[in-house]
Amino acid sequence: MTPHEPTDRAPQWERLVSTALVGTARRTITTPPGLPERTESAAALLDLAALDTVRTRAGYTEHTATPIASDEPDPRPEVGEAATHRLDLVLDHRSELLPEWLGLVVRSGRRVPHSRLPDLLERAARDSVLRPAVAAATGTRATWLAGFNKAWAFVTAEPLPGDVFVDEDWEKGTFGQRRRALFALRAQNPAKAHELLAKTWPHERKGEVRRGLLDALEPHLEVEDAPLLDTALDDRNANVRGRALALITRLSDSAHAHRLRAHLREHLRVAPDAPRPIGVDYLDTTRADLLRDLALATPEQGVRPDIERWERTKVLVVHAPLDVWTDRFDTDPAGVLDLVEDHPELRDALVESVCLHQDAEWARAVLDHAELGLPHMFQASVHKLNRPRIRSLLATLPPAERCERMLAALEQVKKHRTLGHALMAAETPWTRELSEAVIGRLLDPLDLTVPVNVPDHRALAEAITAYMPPEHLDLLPEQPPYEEEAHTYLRLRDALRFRLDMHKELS
Amino acid sequence: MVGTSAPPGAPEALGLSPVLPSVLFVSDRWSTDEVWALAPDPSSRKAALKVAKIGSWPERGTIPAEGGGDSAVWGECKGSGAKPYLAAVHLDGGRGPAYKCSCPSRKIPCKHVLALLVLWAQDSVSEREDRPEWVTKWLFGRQARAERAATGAPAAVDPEKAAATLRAREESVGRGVEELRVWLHDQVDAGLAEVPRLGYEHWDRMAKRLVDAKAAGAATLVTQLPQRGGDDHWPDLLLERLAMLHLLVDGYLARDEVDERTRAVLRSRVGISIRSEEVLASGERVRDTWRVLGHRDGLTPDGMRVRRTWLRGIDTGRPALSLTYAQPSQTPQSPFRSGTEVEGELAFHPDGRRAVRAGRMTERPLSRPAGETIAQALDTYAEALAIDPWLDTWPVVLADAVPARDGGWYLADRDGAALPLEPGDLWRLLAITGGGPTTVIAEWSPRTGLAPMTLWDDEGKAITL
Repeated sequence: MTPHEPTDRAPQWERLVSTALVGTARRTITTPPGLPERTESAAALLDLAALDTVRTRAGYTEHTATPIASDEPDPRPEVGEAATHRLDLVLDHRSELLPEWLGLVVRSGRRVPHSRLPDLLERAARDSVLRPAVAAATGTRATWLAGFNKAWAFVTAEPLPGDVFVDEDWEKGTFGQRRRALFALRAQNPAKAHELLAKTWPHERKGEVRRGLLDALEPHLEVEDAPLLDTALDDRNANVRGRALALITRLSDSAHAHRLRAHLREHLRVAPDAPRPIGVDYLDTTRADLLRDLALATPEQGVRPDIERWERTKVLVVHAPLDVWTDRFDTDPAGVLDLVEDHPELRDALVESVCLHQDAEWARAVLDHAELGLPHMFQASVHKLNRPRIRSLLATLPPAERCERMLAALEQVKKHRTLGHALMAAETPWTRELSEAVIGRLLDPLDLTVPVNVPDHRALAEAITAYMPPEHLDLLPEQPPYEEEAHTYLRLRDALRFRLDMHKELS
Repeated sequence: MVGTSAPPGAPEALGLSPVLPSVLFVSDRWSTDEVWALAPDPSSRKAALKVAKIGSWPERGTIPAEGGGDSAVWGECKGSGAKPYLAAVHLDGGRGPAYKCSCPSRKIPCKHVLALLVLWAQDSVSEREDRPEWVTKWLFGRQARAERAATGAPAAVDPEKAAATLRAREESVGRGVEELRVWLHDQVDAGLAEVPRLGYEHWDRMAKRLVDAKAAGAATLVTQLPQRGGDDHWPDLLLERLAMLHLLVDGYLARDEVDERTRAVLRSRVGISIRSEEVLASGERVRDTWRVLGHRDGLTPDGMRVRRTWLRGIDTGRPALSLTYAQPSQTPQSPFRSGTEVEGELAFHPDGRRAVRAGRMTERPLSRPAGETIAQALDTYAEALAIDPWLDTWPVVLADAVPARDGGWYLADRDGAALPLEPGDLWRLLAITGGGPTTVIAEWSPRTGLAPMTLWDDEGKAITL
């Protein structure tokens, strides 16, 4: 906004300014009747200028402006004063806890104080990971505010649990409003949402819009959605094709799934006497239908290294339903993993397929496997730790089982640092038993080399800070168990206490 | 001083009753926000957070005030050294809180004091019967000084001597102002077209002459004359400022022919200040319940921080301005807290606007004022300008104000009149009001617009910006 210049100045003001610029030695000014005569013409000019200046200030007249459309009051109660203060501390010093704080607010059915909205929206504008949580905790007022500030428009596109489908939003709204409307309808009436999307699909010109609308199918994904997703596999936009493949892969009964089964069976080679009894043929890249079902681009002509050909073949192994393997060899998942033991690349592709399909039975087989299993994954060095794989295999299991498995695996991990990184990779809250075991390791004198290895120790403390439920704070004695790293230990206790207070304030 | 706790009853041995009689100002426990508002800078806030832990303060307590609430908070903070840092805050010292800490930090308040106050605000410090000797000594000393000031001040001002001092000062200033008059005429005679090419020394020389003549106010106005930054409006702004200086010069030189109040305004604008003791001894006293409308911070030309706290009497409707200054590294401490109203007496400077608190005051949460329309607010400002044409900021209390737009952002009243908003707190204002009508207290400046200070949210809660 520009400073507000008084525009309704008397016309003689311009003349005063121009005379002052030239100088009263060269040009004089006549005193209007009613003002005292001055002998010095400088004083005469300044008299008039002062008169005009004071008159302009005192005679400042109001403007007119159109009041903006106001927002409805948010029916959710505001969080308490203590929680508000906690938010300020989090924003200032512990921004890593912001997602947790926002999550607690949403769960408590309350809302962030309006006065903190600009701060939170600024954060989310810079960090897109925060956006869904900020949108949910700030609610309708943030959406309303974003109407006046383009930099915050992202918040209008985030679907919220209380959203209601409004026809007008869907028909005439911005992309964000349409996407939200579709999400809202999907929650109420999945079939109707699918129908609307199918109807509009051929008319959506922008790839990013099609990609964004496709997301709405993800909740309540059903086999009825498969034909539309199948169409999307022909999309001219690669992102849309990729998203469609990711979604359709989850539907094991679709026509697409049946085609992938057929493709895989066709490529499977079994030769009991060969060094590798089981293998998968490289894909035939002239087969347009095959490439299309896997959302693969037609490769350029020329000499292709084997590794590239295997990468393409792997896409088939990863996306095809896993039952092809158990049916073909008439065994359980563990049996399949044993059968392919001489083909590490294939076995690796199968594990990836398990992660993608989120199949608990297969995940257990992988986690129990002697060579691949969780203890083995946990012991990998920090650089080789396969974090996404650990997280996604464990994610298929109920939380208690995840912790049991982690508990069993952690005994075999020697270094605190490796353990810390492995526990971070799991990204799951701990059971009491797991907390006890991890704290046991932190305090175990046998575990402590002297002098204490500082980075190792800190890595473990970091994992405890992030994933141990704060109500397990009582497991940590008040006094640090060793002098060398007392600071890290006290910081750990402080952070957990901080989280504990945060949970109490928002329970 | 060693921080050993005196046994209960020790204060009586010193001749002090356990409850100090100097209680003038009853304060409720503050919110943590109010404590953080005292932090001189963000780094002291960070540092304070590190020591704001119960474990760092093995000894701590509050001393109750006569009428309820707390009179003082004290604590001993375990530091890195062998001796603890001794920190205390006198909450009701009469002119806002006073701090003490044995640490070497030059920041006021230091991190220990802030940390102690935060713990207190969070209800982690409770009343203790016994207190260490250093606390008792400090509070006793403060009380004794306050009593000396209260009984001794009026006698110290000898009316005849004071009048003579003032006359001498006025004459000295008068010589400087006469020089300024000639200088102003020279500028206008020679023409302002050359101004963008003039160096800083051109203005500085005149400003220094005025400082020597003890006319600091006029000197400030001179240093504000040059316009840098290539704004197209520089000739307008420069002529306006020269004209306002000219008005001050003419007025001052004719000071014997104007009424008492105008003369006081001229004196204060030119830079003849008056000590608070004098104001307390002979200034006009007005008793009322004063709403603390809010505050705005600024910088003086010599880099000091200044806080303008605006008040308005509920019964008298009288506006009052409290000015407090601080070093650049400190936050000015106003004796009035935003978001409250205080009942008691103010002593006014001769200009009838600036005021200091005079003695006992009770504090309550701020009640919602009825408010006025924009036209009424502008009228009041115009009336104030008639007495003090140099007044560039003015508090306005707008009823049913709504955010509005016309290119830029405005605040409109229910008659449809609107004033431009200063953009600083725009988003918070919008977020809190949701565009609905509410009472907004703002500082108005015709040059920069409305700067909101306090407003009420949907639930009727006062929020200080």
